[in-house]
Amino acid sequence: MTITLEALLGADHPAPLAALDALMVEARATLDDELLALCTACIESILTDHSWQPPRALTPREQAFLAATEQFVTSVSTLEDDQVARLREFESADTIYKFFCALYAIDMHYRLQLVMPRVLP
Amino acid sequence: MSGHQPRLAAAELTAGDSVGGPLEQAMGEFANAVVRANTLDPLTTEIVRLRCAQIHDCRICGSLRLRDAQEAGFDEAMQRKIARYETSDFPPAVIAALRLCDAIIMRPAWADDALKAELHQHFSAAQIAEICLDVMKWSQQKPLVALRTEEPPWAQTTLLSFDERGAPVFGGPA
Repeated sequence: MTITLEALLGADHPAPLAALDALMVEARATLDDELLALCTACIESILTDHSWQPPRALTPREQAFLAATEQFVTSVSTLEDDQVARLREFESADTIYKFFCALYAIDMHYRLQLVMPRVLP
Repeated sequence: MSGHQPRLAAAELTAGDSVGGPLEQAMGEFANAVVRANTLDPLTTEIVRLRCAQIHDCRICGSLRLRDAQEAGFDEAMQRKIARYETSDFPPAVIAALRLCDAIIMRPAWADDALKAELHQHFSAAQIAEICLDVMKWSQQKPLVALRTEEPPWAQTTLLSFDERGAPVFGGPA
């Protein structure tokens, strides 16, 4: 049975849990459904050491966002100028900024989902 | 400072849409709520915060020092030990907290039964949960690192504290 973050945080940290839930709603609403599904699957495969292939041929825009996702999750500090420049071929600065903010939330939330049940209660 | 150049200019971002928009506000509310949690000692909090800064190569995070931690005895000798904490003379509790931090940020599979047992020797369940939340909060600058817009506006190490809401207050040289 999977232990949820609600079960692990609800008693001791209700305010951060409520804020985290609200953040996840905003983060998921930021990405379009198809990109959200691709990025989420990519993140889960990296963090659980499972290989993953996209379910279909990707558009150049999707390829650019997926490449940025992979780099963001594995090592954000080595993300390169070219990867952001590639995103800018498809989207505005506002959209790219919000994309990385959403990615932060989705990435870190999944990390907590993986780690917290292993060390708690 | 490193030679990274911003990949987006601040002037390109629209107030109320990306900057200060609903998502950024939700990130801020989460961060504030985590900062208000107060079951951990300030030294552990600061050491975990600086570990996050190192791993993400976040320049603004690395330029800050928590005022509470400084008042509790944090010094730059401690800061220098963080990168090699496994062979350091940090107390076992701090090393356990840093291992949890690394498991979250680098490889979740490192969170195993041995780490769980180690953590529970030193921390309550509420404190372990707070470390986990802290790691997410102290990773909040990852979007800025991705865009290399996280260069601090100050030239010297600066003190960081938080107001009653949990919002950051930057104040003077550390």
